[in-house]
Amino acid sequence: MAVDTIPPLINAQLNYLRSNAPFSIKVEQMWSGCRNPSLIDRFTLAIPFCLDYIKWDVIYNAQNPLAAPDVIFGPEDEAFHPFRGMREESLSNSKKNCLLEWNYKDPACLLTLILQLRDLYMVYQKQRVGEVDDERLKFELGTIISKEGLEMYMSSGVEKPEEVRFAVPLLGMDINKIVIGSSWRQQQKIYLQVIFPVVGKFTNKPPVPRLKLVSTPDLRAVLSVEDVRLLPWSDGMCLAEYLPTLEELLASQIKDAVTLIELRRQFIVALAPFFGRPLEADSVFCRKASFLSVSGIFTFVVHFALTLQFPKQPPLLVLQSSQHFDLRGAAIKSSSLTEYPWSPRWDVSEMAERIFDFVADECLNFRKICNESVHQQQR
Amino acid sequence: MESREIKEVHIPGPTLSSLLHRMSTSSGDIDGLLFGTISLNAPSNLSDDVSSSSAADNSPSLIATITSFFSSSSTASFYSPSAQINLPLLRTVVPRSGTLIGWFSGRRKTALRPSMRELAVTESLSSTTALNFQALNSPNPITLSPSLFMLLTTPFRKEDQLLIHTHDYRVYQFRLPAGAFEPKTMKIINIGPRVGNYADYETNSPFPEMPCEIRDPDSMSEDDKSDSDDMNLASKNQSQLDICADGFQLKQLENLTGPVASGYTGQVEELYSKMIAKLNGLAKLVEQSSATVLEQENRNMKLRYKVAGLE
Repeated sequence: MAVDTIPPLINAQLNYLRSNAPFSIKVEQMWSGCRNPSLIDRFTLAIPFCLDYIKWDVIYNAQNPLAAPDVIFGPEDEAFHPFRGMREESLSNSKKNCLLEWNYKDPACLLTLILQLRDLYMVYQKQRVGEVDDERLKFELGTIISKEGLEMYMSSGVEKPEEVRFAVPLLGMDINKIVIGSSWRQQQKIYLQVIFPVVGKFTNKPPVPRLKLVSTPDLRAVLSVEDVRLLPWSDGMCLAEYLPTLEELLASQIKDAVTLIELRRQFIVALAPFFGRPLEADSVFCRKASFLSVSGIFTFVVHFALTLQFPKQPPLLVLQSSQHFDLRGAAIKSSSLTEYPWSPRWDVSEMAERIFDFVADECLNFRKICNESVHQQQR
Repeated sequence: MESREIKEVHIPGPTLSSLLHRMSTSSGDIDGLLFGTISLNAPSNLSDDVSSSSAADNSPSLIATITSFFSSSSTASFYSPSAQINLPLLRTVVPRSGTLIGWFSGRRKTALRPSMRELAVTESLSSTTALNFQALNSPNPITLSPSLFMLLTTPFRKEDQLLIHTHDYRVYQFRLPAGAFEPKTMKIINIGPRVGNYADYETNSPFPEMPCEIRDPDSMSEDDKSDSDDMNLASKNQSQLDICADGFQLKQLENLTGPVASGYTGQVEELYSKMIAKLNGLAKLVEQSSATVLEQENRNMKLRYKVAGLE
C-alpha cells in the first residue's frame, strides 16, 4: 500500500506554519480529496482565538499543488467574507490580499494567509459584537475597546444562548522580563475571560458575567492563575471598575511568585552541603532537583519536586535506586514521600538538614523494599 | 443595487446526473459554469389543494432553470486565486445561445459549506455587469446577474461515510446588499405524469437555429432587400446542408408517390447509408481527439507533479 504523502510544496508551507506561528496552531486532521487517496491535500487547523480555538479547513488541490489553497470557515461563520470588496479598494488598503501574489515556492505564504485571515476575523467579530443590541454590552465595550490585544467573540447558534465573550489582556508589564533567566519563546500573558449573556433591554439588575483567569501555558511553571481567587462581582459593577483592582492583585501575585523562585533557589543551594552537588536542577524556576546519595554500599538518587506552594507545602521526595531494576529494566522508585517533619518557618539550612536526616532513615526502608522486589522477581 | 430574489432552482434530472458523473469521474476537485434561464413565473392558482392556495403569495416569482454546464478538468478555470474573473476567457467559453446564470464547485470530502473563495468568486461574477442578462417572460425588463452557486461535495466525516448516498449538493444565491449566500431549494425536473403534463414541458437544449429556406436552387432569389449578413449565413447553412444531402435533390421527393416509388426506396437507403458512414467517421474523429485530450491532460498532470516535486 502506498504511504500517505503530503506534496512537498504543501508540506513545506505547513511545517513553516507549525514552527513559526506566533501562537501555537494545531493541525487537527489531514486527509485526501483525490481519487488517489494517498496524496494528502486538506487539513483542519485549530487557531487560537479569544481563549478558544477556531477550526478552519484548508483545502489544497493535490492535482494542482502550485495553486493557492482555499479555506472553509466554521459553520457559524458563513457570513464571514474576508476579502470582500478588496478588489476595488486594493490601493487604499494597506493590507493587501496575499492571495493576489501567491507564490508556491515561498514556504511562509500559508502562515501569512492564516495570520491575515485571523486579523480580518477579529475585525469581523468586533463588528458583530458592535451590532448586538444590548445597552450594557455597548457600555462595557466602550470602556475596554482601546485595550491593546483585546479579542472578542459573538457566540450564537440554534441551540446556544447568545453571549459575547471577551478576552481582556491584563497588566501592561512584560512578564518575560520579570522572570529572570526565562527562555520563553512566546510572550507570556494573563487574560481575563468575561462572558456576558445578551439580555437586550436595559435592566436594573443585569446578570453577573462569568469570569475566569487564563494564562499562557508556560506561565504555569511560575504562577497558577487558576489558584488566584477572583474578587466578587457586586451588583451594578462594570469592567472599568473591576479591572484595576484585579490588575493590582495580579501584580502583587506575580511579585510574590518571583520571590518564591528565589526562596526555592536558596533551598536547593542549601541542600548541597548535605547531599553534594545536584545531578540535575531546574535553574530557572527551581521546581526540580536531583541528588546522588550513598548509604553504605547502597547508591540511590533523591528527586525533589517543589510545588508553587513551597515553603507552605514540603517538597515531594522520590527515591530511585541505581542498583535495583524491575522486570522491564527500569530503576525501582519509591512512592512520593511527603510525610516527614516540616515547618515553613524553619530557615532553609534547617529544612535541608531535617530532610537529610529523614532520607538517611528512609533509605534503609527503601533498600529493603528494593531487595524484596528483586528477590521476588528471581523466584 | 438590491438583487432580486430567485425563488426556486430547477434542474432536469439528466443535467444533474451528468454533473454528478462529471464530478465522480474527475481525478480531483472541479468547477465550472452553469447555463440556463431565469424566468418570471406567475404562480398557478388553479390548485385544488385548499390548504396551500389560500394564503399563498400571488406575486410572480423568479424561477431559475439550469439546463447545461461546462467544466474543465481542474479548478480555478476562469478566476484567479484572489477571485478575479477572467472575462475574456469566460467570453470564449460561454456559447452565444446560452445564458450564464452561475457556477458550481465540486470538491471531495469537504464540509457542505461555501468556502472563502467560492463566496468571493460568486461576488465577482454577480458584480461583473458585462454578464448581466434579462429575465424571460417578464412584462417589465428585469436585469439579473449570474448569482447562483451550486456546491457539490462527497461525505467527509467518518460517520458520514457509512451513509448510502455518495454526493451532497446545495444551491445558493448570492444576494446584495447583504453580500451573503442564501440557500435555495432545488427541484429536479423529470418528464413524467408527476411533474405536470408533457405539454408543459419545454425543451431547453440550445440547438442552433438554421435559417435556411427550402427552395428550388434554380429559382431566382426575389428577396434581395434582406440583410446581406443574414443572406450570407443562410447560404452558408444551405451549402452545409447540401454537403449532408450529398446530391440528393429536393425535387426527388416528388418520387415518393407514383409509379417510381419502388425505385425511390433504394435512393433514400443509399442516402442514409452515406450519412451513417459520415456519422461513423465523425464519431471516430471525436473518439480519437478525446483520446488525445486525455493523453495531454495526463501529460499536464505529470508535469505539474514534477514541478511540485511529487515524483
